[in-house]
Amino acid sequence: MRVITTELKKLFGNKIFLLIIAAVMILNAYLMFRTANSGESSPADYKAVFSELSDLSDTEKIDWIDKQLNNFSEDQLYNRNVLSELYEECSNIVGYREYLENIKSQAESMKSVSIFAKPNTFNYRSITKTPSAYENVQDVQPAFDISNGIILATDNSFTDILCIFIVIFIVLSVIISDREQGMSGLLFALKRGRSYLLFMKIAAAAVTILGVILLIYTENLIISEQLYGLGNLFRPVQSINGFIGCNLKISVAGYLILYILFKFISIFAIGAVLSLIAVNTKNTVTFYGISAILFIIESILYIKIHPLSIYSIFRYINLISFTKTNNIFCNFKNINFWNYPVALIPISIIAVLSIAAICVGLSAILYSKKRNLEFHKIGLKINIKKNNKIHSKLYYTFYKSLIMQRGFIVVIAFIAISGIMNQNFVKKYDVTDVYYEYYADMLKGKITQDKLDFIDSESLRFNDIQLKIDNLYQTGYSLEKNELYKALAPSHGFNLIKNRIDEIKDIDGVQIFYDTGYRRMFGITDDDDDMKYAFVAVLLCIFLISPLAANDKRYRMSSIINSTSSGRNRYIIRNITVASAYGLFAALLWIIPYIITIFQYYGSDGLKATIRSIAFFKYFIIDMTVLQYLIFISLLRIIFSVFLSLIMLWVSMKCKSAASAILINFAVFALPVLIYLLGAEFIINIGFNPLLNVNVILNDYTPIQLAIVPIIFAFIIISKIKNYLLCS
Amino acid sequence: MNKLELHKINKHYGKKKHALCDFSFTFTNGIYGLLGPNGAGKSTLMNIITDNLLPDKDGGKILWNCTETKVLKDKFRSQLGFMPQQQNLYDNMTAHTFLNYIASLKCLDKNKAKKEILKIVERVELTDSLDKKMGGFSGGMKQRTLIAAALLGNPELIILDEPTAGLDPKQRVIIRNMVSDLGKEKIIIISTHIVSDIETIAKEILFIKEGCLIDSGEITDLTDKVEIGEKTLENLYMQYYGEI
Repeated sequence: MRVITTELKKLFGNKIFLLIIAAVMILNAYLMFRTANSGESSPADYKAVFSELSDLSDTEKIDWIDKQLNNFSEDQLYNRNVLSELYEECSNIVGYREYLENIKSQAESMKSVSIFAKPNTFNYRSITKTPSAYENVQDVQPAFDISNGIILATDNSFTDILCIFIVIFIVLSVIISDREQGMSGLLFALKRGRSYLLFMKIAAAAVTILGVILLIYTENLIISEQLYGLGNLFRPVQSINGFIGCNLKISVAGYLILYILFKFISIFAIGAVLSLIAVNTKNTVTFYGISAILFIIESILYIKIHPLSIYSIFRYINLISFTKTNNIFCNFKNINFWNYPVALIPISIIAVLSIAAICVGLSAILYSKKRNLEFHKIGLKINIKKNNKIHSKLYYTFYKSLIMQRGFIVVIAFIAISGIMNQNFVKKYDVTDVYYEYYADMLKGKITQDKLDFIDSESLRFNDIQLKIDNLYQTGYSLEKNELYKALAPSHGFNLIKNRIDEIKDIDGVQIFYDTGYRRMFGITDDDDDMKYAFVAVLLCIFLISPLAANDKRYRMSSIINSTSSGRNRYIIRNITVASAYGLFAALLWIIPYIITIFQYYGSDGLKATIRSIAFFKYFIIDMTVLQYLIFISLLRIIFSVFLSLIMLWVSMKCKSAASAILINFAVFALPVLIYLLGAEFIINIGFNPLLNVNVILNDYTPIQLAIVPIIFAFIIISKIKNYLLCS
Repeated sequence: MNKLELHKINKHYGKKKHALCDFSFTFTNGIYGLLGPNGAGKSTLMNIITDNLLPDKDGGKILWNCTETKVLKDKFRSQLGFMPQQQNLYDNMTAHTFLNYIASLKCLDKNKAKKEILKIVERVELTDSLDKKMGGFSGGMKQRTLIAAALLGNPELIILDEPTAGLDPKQRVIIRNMVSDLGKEKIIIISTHIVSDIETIAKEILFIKEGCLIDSGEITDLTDKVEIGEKTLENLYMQYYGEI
């Protein structure tokens, strides 16, 4: 126990860890509120409906909702969607008996359908097994009550991501920090300095993970209770919307306990996998690299493998799947284990426990066989100088970063990632856009009277077709009607070009050209290209820049460097130069290939036309060509990329180890982008996201976004001046 | 009487660097000084003994009281007190917590550890700083904390890598006397560059050069080998390593 206590003291003695937990709690709370309020219906809508339903039986509730739906008026306290949603939910609960009966009857009837009737197939075996799985819930009667609170508390991917983020930090602190602090030599020589110590470290990590999970989910439940209410916690779990197919005979409270327990073991299993990686990696960068590759592979397997595929075992026995606790428990599922159905719930529990146990065991075995000083061997090999040439100080700064800190591996990896991203670039197939391109090419160039006349005549033609279709509305299918629909197909694409011409025809010098590529590039369409590429660029900068100054501190080189004539300000200037170079490289790595890819897929017509030719930019403040705008936006991206790199460097200078710098930079720069890419769109305006995106500043600027840049600049400058004054 | 036997220990770093070359020696109770310039293989030898580094495959064996250490594993480590050559400690931890942590990893009973810690810190003159965070310790204080950690649990084999580096003369004398007292019943191996630290207390001195044991013996026997100048250990050191 003393060792666990000390390990916990080491972990909680780290102020950064406490700060990260606090930041995660605040971010999680914020995201909970935003998620709850981001839909059409607000928590108040649900509360208003449920306050009306409180004293009614389930059948009375459904009648009441039905009545409200039929007599709906806009002055009511809740919106119609809430009523429709709750009507369906209540219908499911009232019809639960029929649902169970249906499972039985469907199994019987499906067995007689030829494609399911082959006894040696997964489908047949699964169908015959399913009704028996529901035997123990035959006497369950779900009760209709508010579900949104429980769903909000338990079903959000950002909480999972934040938990995984904390687990990474815990593993780094518990497993890697001893090695980073040079303590392994001392600890390995002690009687209990091997397997026992590792078990104790993992036990301390487990206690911390449990604490963090309890903390975060308690926060989720409190917020959910405040926003929606959790309903009667002793009603059967089948009462929760989406859980009608659950075959567990437990209450909502029981499910919450089960949920927390499973969440804990699944997150702990992830921690155990990460511990195994940490034990076997020689430095933090390798740890991050291997962990990232593992999560990418797991995500691809989870997304790409069909749930009924013969390989579905790799979809479900998967770290990503384990974090989606509700998906495992909400419905009885059989997974296809090489044509044999295996119930998802027990196999998930067994798998997650086995993975955790195997990884902990393997980590202990490998840790006990580990020799601390083997790390130096590799360092020696690489650091041997082939010649005695004296290079510039800047050369050595790059040498340190790219060779000694393995930055070149990061560079190669990210060049490969950039290549893969551009190779997998998809031009969405959209019939409307095909016709839009057709008309844009036809009307290419300046807007002339001939072209306007053509637009008018084409408009009339489509109106005629529409009229004919309207006249044939009452008749059934006919060849004539089918032909008319075919003739009308280009009208959507035509309307787009017509609207565009209507909007810009009065502006001087505008031209018509196919602009979908530009609109995609300038963030006007719904694609997230800018943020996807920004995410990769940010990761590249984080991995290259975070260790720059932090490693010098860790190896206590700063004091030596600062005592030389090229130390202090010149040392900072050299690091600024290197960080700026990385920022520039990261920006170019995504800008140039992306522009080339867009031109390959969408063409480059209209580069010399005014930007106001694109309807969205008709009021753009400066009259510049599309090419100039493209250069302008690229320059802004480069400037912001360099600027953000300098902030990353500043973080690196403040941190005592590369691991802390990477983690803080990730939390500040990459995590918000990741959360945005996962669907929390509102986060685009928060933190450094506008600077990474750039399009959002130019397209939809707000005073807050514009204020961010000077505020940050001012903050950095004040801090630098303060430091300078203190030094002098 | 304890016995540590090293049989033909070999260690290569990469293909070219031969860090230890057929190193054989038998240590019995008493103090042994390891002398040699930087890169001679002293730290490699200490790290191999403490199992922080593996010798080459078929690169010899180490026996503790006639049993191979790789068979004894943690039983051997329970007899071991190691002070590595390092200046990094847990900055956020107090010396007391750190020593408690080490005591628990050495399987010391809580109450016994409490008493022993107080006794040892008094010997290394750290009592006043026991509850201070180690982040604020000077190099000498860190060194003394590490010595205290090595001595916890009354180990039979004590390996000290540069124990007096960073200590002031008074503290060096204290540590030297302490080691001298302990050396009567235990095996103590000290690696150092400071000849004066060991010449008055060591039972035997081992000279290592390029991974090989070039000479060993009692101080009087060794000093007789000095060819030029006064018959001191320092002059012999200069003679072996070509510094004169």
